[in-house]
Amino acid sequence: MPKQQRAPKWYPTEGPATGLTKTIEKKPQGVAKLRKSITPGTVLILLAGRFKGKRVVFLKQLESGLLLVTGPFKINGVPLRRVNQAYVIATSTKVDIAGIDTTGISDKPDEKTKRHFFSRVVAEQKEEGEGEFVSTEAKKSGLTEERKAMQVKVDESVIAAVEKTPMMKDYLKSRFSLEKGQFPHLMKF
Amino acid sequence: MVALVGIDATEMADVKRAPKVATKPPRLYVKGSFVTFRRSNANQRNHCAILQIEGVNSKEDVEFYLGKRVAYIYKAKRARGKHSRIQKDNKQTSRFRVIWGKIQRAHGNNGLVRSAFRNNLPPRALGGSVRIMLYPSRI
Repeated sequence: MPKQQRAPKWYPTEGPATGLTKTIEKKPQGVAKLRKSITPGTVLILLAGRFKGKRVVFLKQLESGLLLVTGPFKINGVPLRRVNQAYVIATSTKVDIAGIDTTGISDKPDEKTKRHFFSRVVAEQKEEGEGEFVSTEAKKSGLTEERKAMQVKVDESVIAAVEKTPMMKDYLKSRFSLEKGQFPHLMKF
Repeated sequence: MVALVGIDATEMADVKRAPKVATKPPRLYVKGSFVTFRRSNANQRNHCAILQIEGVNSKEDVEFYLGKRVAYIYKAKRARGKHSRIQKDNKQTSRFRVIWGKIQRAHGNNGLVRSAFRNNLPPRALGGSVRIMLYPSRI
């Protein structure tokens, strides 16, 4: 009697690939779309963070999608700073910053150094002396000369534009705050 | 009227400068209160908190606040390290604590609002104040 072909003892748990399942390639997350109300020169109100309530001038949207703003520093103490759109109210007030050069400021990390204009710079702590006489130098602020120079350069043109409009300087100096009886859903920014 | 007789240069400098008045921190939130948990007569759904926002009295007014973050702030006995992003060595401590939430949708026609918090609000918060922040902003 011929030996019958036996059924295989082991079966694979998954069948052959049928091609019905899709491998969806993750799309690179695009840059946040800038709100229509935010154009270069718009005065923005910062809603959170160290400078909450301050009115600042919007310069441009950086590569990461964050907004580049400046006080200007001399007017209200806000330096060249990045801010997320969601934490900002755009007012209808605009400053004419047509000729301002902000090309040196970028968010995109340099391929070699992996750093960009806003990368945090941590000064190394220097320890002098030994043993009990160790004294550590205070951590220097992360401000590079490049940033200071760029601040002065950009603010020069912004302040010139600001001074053309009466009361704009005082407006940027003042802080936004909700008072009694003021409700944002009834306010026109 | 300050008597200028007999004051030397250093004192003059102090006299001239007006005392620095501490400016009030700006209020960048809308006041609200935690009215109730979402519920029917006999069943309560604690994951949904119904809030009343000051000045909001109709369903149309609620549209501005959709998605806005809400904070329930309370004090505790034990001081805890504050979340400090940059200066990790400078540990500020605080007895204030927050439960964060979000406004999800309107509740009814009269301006009440449904919200969900990361952790459900404790029952002692009923009737208590809540802060509705102005972010994430859509204006």
